[in-house]
Amino acid sequence: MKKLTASVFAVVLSSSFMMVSAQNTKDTLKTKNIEEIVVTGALGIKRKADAVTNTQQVVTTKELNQASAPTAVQALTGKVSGLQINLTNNGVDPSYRVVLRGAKSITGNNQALIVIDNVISSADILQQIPPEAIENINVIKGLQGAALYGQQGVNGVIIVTTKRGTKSEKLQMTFNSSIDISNVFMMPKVQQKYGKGVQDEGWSDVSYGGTNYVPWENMSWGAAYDNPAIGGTMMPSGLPQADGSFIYEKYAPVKNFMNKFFSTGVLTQNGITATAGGSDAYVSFSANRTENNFVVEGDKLRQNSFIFKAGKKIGKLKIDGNINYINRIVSNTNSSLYDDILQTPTNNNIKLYRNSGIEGYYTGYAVNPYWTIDHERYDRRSDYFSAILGLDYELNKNINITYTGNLTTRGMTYMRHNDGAIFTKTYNLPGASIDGATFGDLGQGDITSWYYESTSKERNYYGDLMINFNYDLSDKINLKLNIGNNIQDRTYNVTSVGGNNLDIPGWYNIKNVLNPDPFSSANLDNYQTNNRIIAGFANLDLSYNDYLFLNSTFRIEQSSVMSTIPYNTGKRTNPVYPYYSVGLSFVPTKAFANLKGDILNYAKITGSYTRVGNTSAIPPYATDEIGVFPTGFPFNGLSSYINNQTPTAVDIKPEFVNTLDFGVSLGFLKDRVRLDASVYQSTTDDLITAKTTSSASGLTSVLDNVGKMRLRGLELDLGITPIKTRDFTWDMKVSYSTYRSKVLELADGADEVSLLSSTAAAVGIFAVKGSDFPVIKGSAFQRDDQGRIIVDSKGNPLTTSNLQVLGRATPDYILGFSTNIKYKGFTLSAMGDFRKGGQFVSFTKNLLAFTGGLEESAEFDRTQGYIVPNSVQNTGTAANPVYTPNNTPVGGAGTYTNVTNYFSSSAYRSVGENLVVDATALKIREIALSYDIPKSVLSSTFLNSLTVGVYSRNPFFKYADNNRNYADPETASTTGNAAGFAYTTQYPSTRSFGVNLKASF
Amino acid sequence: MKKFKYTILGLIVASMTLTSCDHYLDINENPNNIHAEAITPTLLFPGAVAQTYRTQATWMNRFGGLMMNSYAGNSYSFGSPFGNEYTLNVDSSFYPQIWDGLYRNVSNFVAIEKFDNSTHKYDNYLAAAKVMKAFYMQTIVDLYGDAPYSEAFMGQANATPKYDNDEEIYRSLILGINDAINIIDNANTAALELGSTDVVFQGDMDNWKRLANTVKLRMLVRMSKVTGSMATFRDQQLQTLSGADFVESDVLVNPGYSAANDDQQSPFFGYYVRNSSNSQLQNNTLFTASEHVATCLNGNPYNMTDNVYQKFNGIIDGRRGRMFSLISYNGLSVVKGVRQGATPGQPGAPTDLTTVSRFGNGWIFGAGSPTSNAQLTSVGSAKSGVLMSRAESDFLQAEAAVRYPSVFSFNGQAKFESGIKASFDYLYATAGTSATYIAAIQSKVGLGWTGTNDNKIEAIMTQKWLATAGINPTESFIDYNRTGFPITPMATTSAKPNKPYRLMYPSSEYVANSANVPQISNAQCFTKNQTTPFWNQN
Repeated sequence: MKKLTASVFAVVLSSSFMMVSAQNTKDTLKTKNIEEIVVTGALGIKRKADAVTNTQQVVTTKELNQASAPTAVQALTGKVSGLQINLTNNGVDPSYRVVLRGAKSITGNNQALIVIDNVISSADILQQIPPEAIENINVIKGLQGAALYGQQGVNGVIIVTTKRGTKSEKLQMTFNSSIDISNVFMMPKVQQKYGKGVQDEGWSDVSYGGTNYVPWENMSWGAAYDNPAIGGTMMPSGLPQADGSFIYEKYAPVKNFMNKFFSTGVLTQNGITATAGGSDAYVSFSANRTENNFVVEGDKLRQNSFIFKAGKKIGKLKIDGNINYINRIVSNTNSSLYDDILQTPTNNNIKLYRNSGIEGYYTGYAVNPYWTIDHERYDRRSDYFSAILGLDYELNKNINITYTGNLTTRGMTYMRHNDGAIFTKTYNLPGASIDGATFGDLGQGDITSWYYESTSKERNYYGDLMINFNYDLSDKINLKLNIGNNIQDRTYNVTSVGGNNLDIPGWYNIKNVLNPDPFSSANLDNYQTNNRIIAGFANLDLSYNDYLFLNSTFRIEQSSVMSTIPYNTGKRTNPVYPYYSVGLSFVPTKAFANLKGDILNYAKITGSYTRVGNTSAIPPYATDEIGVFPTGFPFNGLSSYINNQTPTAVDIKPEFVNTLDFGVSLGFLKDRVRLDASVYQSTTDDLITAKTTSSASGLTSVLDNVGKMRLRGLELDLGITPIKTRDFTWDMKVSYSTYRSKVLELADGADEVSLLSSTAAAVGIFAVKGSDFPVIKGSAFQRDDQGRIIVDSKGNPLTTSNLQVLGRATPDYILGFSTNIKYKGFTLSAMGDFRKGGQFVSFTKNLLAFTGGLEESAEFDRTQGYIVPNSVQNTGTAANPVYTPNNTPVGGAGTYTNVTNYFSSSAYRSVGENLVVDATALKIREIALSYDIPKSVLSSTFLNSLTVGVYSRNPFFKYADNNRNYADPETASTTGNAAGFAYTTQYPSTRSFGVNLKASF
Repeated sequence: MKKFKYTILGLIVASMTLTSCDHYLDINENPNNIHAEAITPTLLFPGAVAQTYRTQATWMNRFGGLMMNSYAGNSYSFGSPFGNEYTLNVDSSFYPQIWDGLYRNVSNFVAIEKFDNSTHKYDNYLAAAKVMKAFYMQTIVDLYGDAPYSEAFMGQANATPKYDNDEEIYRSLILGINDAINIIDNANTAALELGSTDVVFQGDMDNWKRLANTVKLRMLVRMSKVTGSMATFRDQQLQTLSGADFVESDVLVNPGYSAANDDQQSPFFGYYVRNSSNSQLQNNTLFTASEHVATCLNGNPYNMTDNVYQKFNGIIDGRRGRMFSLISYNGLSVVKGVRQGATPGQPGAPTDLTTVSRFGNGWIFGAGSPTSNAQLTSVGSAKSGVLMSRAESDFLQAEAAVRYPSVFSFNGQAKFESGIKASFDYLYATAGTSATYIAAIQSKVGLGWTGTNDNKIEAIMTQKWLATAGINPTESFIDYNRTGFPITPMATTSAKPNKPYRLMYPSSEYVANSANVPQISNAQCFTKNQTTPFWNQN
């Protein structure tokens, strides 16, 4: 293995690596290793950077940890061009969707493969590994680099290498500690002109311009705050308290009223790593503890993780072992309580109702979120255990044999309960509409108590056996060949019990459930799955003179999920699929000595072609035709099975992705300026999706091959080092990435495939033939040729009966920027990105329109009615329309009631067009300042190094004008492909500030 | 070390040979579900009936009750309820559950038809499946007109079935019923008895024949206005029903409903009233009586001047307290509801008392009144569903007697009064009140059996409306579209002058069957035209 020279290494890997190399020159421990760092690719095959034939980007431990992000996934966000990480659930235990270079599949998995220490893993596990324990993450964006993983690598691969011991014989200890506090920010903006109330004389018939005050309303369709008859006066508020009295609140907006509910989150992370080694052995142990107390009271996470790694060389045999144990306990409440908070009128301080329970809450029409915190809990406890064995036996100087085997088990217990509430207390308010009624009577109904418990166990085996050849065919030509075999075996089983109606309050056990669900219930998971993959593969690397490289891979794979006996045939089929790739890399500055000069000092050109299949959309057993239980069956003594309405096509094939990828890397002015550019195109044939079928076929959907999609994209990375002196270094990096997926063909009869549709409004996420993927479609206003909204004779807008394309759920482009300034021991780093374009559907907007909180509904005098701006009426005929400007308020008359009806009812809220919001966002994601205490200061202590820092995550966000902080545009509703819905169960973003400390001794 | 080398090489060889060994991968048989091959008509039938009925008990019930102005949203507790139903925003997202739910589940009846029956083992299942298919497919045609039929129910083999002329679907369904009757009449000794798998008639094939005849009559009477070849077909088929037996007791479905858990509750109760844990559901408060039905049931106590209410003046309907809970209001115990579309303070939703009626014990409980909520849940959850009530059958026969006196010898008035009595009986209204009621309406044109044939049709439709409310109101809505009776006010917020004559095909059709689904505008749903169900185009 040839060593990389420092300069080449610095060019190809991103600028941040340069920073590390600059920093580490002082660090005697690491300088020794730096020369040896090569890029780790698929299956652990290491290559020097020049030989890499596709686009890759390495993120180092330093970059990952600059702002002490609690998870490695969060730490990666925004740091790699072309890597899109969407937060799908912002909570105490956030979840993410990790996609490289856009979508290639409609229904199949588009998320990048995560490989940790040469073993296929998942984003979920990556999230549990402390970022501090990671040596580096190599993001392989070019598909060719992932082709060896076969179908699992079809979406690119992220290769994570955890820290290993050093070769120093001395015991090294490193201690890390950070603490930060976080608060919610970017809370939705709501109107501040009108307060609580609605047209309802249930409490008082006093009219304030056509509306009334109702203490227990959740609607903001009340009197204007500047109405002297009520503005500023103390009003009884909410439902009567336990003693029958009211809480009084001033009829005026409460400042930051929505933030009141959230507390300050505290995150602490502590870790200690001990390493030791020698010339032929190493050992390292690290223990980390994370405690996260979220901004929602009671939501917390405790995680302990232990990683033990050791290796030794015994003669020609090298043995590496890696044992990882992670234990985590997460407790959270139901995030839909955020929906209840969003409804709050601006004159209510939700905190006053902390101890009021449901029956004394500020409104009779929502559940007190404080009650939810106390009485609805989701508790997960998981134990993850992974053992990796690596063997490397050198047969001779040209041939060695390696084996990587991994066994992973994960056990999880998931318990959840709701204490329920049957409302029996009647309100005693003579004359009021709620007199004699219970809380449940007001519309909410009773809350059923329930308890569910599920226990799941996952066991994965992964094994690679490889023979590796390395021959110098001549003094200029080197050949490396790897031939191997891969076996994977996954089993998962889950058992759950549960049901409604807890007999004894507070006892959470199935024995206490009076109405247990039958095992056929859709609420219960009781199943097992087992799937296996067998593959043979080969990897060929040829190099000529260190400036021309060829890489080619071949994999032949058979998977148990394709093993099928079609209905009533009795014959089994299981096709074998080959996947292959070829790539070239050429370094002109090395090939032609005269090309390399002071201006251009480095150039590399790469190109590759990859063809890989993907069956991730087909779950185990899908092709096996089954019957399902009708609702409620089996009844006592009577069972029944009916047709499965969501089958998988019996002749389903994998979807094949063909990718062309070109890249160029340039270094100028002794690498002070570095430019990487890549373009790519992936065409996916035989796209698999669950296509909606005509219900008349008897089915809801069929999982089948339905069409063809093309993905094209471009990435540019520019790194500049304007200043580089002994004491002062300034690095900056700008990246630009853009991509478009386009649906080229869909199966006969279908022009579109619905991926997600809303029941609350006429809007959904679709794959539409000939359009970008995915698109948002929804109902829209009917408009005349001048774009004016057409209203009917009562002034109500007309909507289109069919769904229109309203936007695209992916951005036009993403600009990333980061900078790093180092002066003596100080390092200042900042990172942010700008995401331009794209749309998302905001259900917060839908809810605010209902409650009257929407700003748009207060930009006029409500008491005078609402005329749809720029609207027209057809005064001609249907055949020959004549559009004249409309002066009729909605509902046909200018009353407050008609305004309320318009915004609160489906007339406004269910129109898809009203809910689509621009997803443009500018985000400063991290700012961190750290100081390395000089060695001279430490020399008299036991410390080798000491770094202290302050940091902030998410210090600044700016959204598009029409996104009134409704939601973070990155919010995706699912980890599936139907991103673009932002529900009201997504907590707002949090901003955190913290300090960290790192010491080694 | 040599030995070690060979061991490694041996391992490689072993693992390579494993690759070609198929059995290692033959693990794809689903251990979690029944295999399709094992599902016989015996296993299919009870679930097919129960699952299809769920659509009838929930979405169809809600749709019919709101369209026929029997139910209203409790706007005292809910902000602008039922916006789409009131404004009649009939688009492809308007009640798609009816189409989707019926088609997907009727396919199970077709699966029974297709099952190998060469030995006549499944004759009885076949006959019952044909009747049930016609029962629900009629609803599809009556609400949507042209629809997939000849290419429908083929599963994966045809996910995009073409549309058939609605006349042809009717014709084919009626012939299918004839087949069913034929099978029942010529019982094969090899045929399995339905027995306990028959969750409707417990295996009584005579009753299946009665239902077959009644569904057939329902389809033929629906064609009362058609002309041309379909009229000839109708008249010819009517002859075959002369002297036939029709449904004479409520046709109930009950696979074993109970309050054991939510899934096993009677779907009507579990949708509208309480869940199995005895928690009150939102719908129990959301759905209340409409001011319209309340006025009719209360005998117009507040002297509303609209013509439609005059025939009800002073006649307090003995069923009212069984259909809705009674509320004490202005010194009277009445059904109190909300005018469809009115918000509190507007006419029809006065704020002097905001407590309104809920669904009554006749619908949700049965005989008498529950002594506790626990008893309500336990009894109501176990209550049988109504596929077709005796009242519906009687009113159908009454109409047939008026329209086709030459075919049917039975007495129209007797059937009419029997229908009213059946309704009172089903609701467990106080004994004898049906006779009082019949006497009171005797001379009321359009309400009792008096006047011209048209008056009698109006009376039949009005009584059918009251008798099917809360039970099978969509049937009344379809007849309303055909006959214009009973006169039904629009919601105050209605954006349309009349109720829709048909529904828009659901979005699943536009998304998944766009090449075949007819393009229909919202406006076409509200006029009579070529897209209206064939029996109502004139």
